[in-house]
Amino acid sequence: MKVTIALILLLIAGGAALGFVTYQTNVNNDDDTHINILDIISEVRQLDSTINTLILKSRYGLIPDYDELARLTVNLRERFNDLKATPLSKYATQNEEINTYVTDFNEQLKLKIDLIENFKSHNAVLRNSIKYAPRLGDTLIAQVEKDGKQKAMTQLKIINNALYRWALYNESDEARIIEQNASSILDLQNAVKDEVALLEYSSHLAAVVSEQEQTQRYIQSALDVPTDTTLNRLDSTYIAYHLDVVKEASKIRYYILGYALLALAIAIYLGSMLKRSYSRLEEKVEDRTQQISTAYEHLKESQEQLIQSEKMASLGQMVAGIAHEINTPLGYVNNNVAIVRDSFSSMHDTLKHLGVIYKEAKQKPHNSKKINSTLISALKQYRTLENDDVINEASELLDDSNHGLDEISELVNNLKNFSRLDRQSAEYFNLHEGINATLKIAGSTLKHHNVSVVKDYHDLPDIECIPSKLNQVFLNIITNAAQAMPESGGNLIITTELEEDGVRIIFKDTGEGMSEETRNKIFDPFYTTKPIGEGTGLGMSISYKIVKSHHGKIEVITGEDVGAAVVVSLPLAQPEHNDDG
Amino acid sequence: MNMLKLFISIISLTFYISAFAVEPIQPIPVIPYDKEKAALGKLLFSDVRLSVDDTISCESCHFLDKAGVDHVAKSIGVKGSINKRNSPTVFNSAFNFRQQWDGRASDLEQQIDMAMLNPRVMGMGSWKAVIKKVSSIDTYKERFKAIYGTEITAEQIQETIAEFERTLVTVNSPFDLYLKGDETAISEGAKRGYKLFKSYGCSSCHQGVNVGGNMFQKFGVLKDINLRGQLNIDLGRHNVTGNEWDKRVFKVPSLRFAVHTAPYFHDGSVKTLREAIDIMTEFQLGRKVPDEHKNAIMEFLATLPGELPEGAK
Repeated sequence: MKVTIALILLLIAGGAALGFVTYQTNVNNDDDTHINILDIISEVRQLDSTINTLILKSRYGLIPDYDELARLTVNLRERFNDLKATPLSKYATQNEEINTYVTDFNEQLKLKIDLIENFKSHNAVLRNSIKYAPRLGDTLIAQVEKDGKQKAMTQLKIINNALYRWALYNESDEARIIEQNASSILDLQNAVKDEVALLEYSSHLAAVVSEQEQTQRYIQSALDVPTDTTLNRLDSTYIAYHLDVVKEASKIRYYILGYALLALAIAIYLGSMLKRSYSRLEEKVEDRTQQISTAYEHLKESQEQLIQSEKMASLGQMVAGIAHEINTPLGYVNNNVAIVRDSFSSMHDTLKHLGVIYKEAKQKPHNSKKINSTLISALKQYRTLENDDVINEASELLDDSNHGLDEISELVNNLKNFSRLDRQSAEYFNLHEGINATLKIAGSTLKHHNVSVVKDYHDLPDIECIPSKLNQVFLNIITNAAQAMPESGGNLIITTELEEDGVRIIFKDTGEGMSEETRNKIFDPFYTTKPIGEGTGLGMSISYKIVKSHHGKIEVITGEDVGAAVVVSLPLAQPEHNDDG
Repeated sequence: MNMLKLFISIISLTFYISAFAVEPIQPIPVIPYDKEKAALGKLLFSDVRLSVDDTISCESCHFLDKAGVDHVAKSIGVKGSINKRNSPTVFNSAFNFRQQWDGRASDLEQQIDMAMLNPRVMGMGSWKAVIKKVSSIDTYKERFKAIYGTEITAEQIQETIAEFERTLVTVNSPFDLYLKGDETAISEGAKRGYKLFKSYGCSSCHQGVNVGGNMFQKFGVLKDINLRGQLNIDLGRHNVTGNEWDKRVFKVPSLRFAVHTAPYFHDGSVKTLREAIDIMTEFQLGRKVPDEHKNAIMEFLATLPGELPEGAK
């Protein structure tokens, strides 16, 4: 048992540890996600490079507007932000290097976009001035040439040629020439008539110089932002880290496999344990079943014996009562017969004289003297008999004997009624008859305990029952009541009543009553208040069973010192299908 | 070496010429959008309950029947507060590379976010408050549920309104038809105006589909804007980046609806288009442009607005 609990705890601990490790490693190594991240990085690199091309094209006026550049710049930022929704952002919190590259790229991108915006602004101005300034210069040159201002014309030409060349080749030499001359251009005011045009030319020259420089600076700075390098590093670091994660994940897979094997082994072990204990249990169950059935057999046997002895006890009690009942008339019949037999010899002597007389009378001649003397002697004897009242007495004695025999005959009849051995099945039966017969049977017991029986009978219909069984119940109750009487005796009031759906018989005694404990246990088998060996404790239990099997009810109403009333209720008829339950 | 230079210059020139063959302005395309979201966005766009005191909706500053603006220098927000800058048109705003005059919003969604929380605009203070308010209205609750199937989120509200704004593009303008080859779509004067627009260099900045809105530019690039006064007060993008160069740098506004969206510039201080052109040529181009040319350019600008989209009707 302890081993089992330990194994289960081990499994739980292993599972928890594995879960924790799995959670810690944040494995998200499915190939789609991985490829998606690589796709995004590659797309970002592509966009970055296209933007580089576009700003270079814009620098040389090769594209008409910034729409595409603006769109791609937005795309680049959005696409990079898409990485936030991927596991890469989680990796960034775990891996310092990845975090650095992501942060770096973010900042570099922001810087680059700012630089590009600045480039766009300056480039737009530059493109305007570089287009317009040389043409304005040409106009001014034509003007001073017409006016014959040779010196001014030379100076303007140097500047304007430098402008043209710079527009095309963008070389610093030309820039220096323009820069050097731009400051002195306003000195030509005297030579140039169109002062406004000269001022415009001057400001555009300044714009070309400063915007060219700025444009160049911003485009160079924008291209110099190492977004590409950062992205490459991010890419390779990510791939390396991802490989590590995958490796880690596969390690975890081994752990999981190991755990599964362990779990399987433990499960098998527990299973076999279970099977073993199960078969052991089965054996035990069989043993116990054997024991229980043996015990049950024993119990049944002893119960049968007990029931038998209860029967024998009842029978003994009954026989004792009956013997007593029979003994009394038998005694006096015996006496009477003896007395009658005694008197019969004197009557026989008298009758003998009759024979002598008859013989003398038949002889010729008659001996009258002898006849006479014999007759007188017979008469004398008869007178003596009459005087002694022998004949009357004999007749009375015979009457008395007759009465005694009648009594015995009635008793036997009652006994037959009581046991009804001839009728074991249910029939319609008059309960009063049964109670009366029982009272007769219990007569000696009742007498012995000085019990006077009061019958409070009401009209009852015959009810369906097994009479012998019910009589047994009545005998039990009556015997118990009698035994419960004090020495001075008491009353047993038997009331029968017709109820709505049955009959009720109440045996109320004026005995000692019974305690609460007795009342509660009275129907329990083997419960008895009699001294050991006198009662089986089955009487009331059997009565209860009998009444139950008649679908009736038996209950005891009592208290200490108030007597007891046993109430038996019985239905008029038994249900058709008697399950005997 | 010289040969190489020559070669490069020829190549460059070829590209230069071929580049000019491509127009700096392109016709407005139709943007695909989600009908359900846009329809819901339109309801939200004109619902004053999206503001803290139930007085201001998006439409309070961007009237759909007034070219997407309110025609005041600076718009009025909740509790009578006055905005810092002029409200630009909502039409074709989807084509701008960034939103707001200083470009601090990267897209429409972010602009909506800012307007909703700005105490001078909708003044809602927090998205929690916006969500609570929108969720308390059964119609919205049901429609958001139908589209997204979840509880309402800030992103959903922003997306639906932005989706509606993406429908507010004006296709088939006379000028776009001209670009597509219909020579009769615009007048000869307008055609001349377009040529001047390009040759003076306006199109260096006002370019692309939206005739602007794809770059930043510094106010007073060829002449110090301080000379003009007032327009120099707002430091524009400098407030966002802190860069020295970014002082008075603004997003180049779209000219698509310029003829209908007076007053002009970031502070709405310039009342007429003609004045605006005057300032632009003087400070941005550094050139004197004859009135006749300016008139032609105005004639060209008038051909830029296209058809009002279904959502604006």
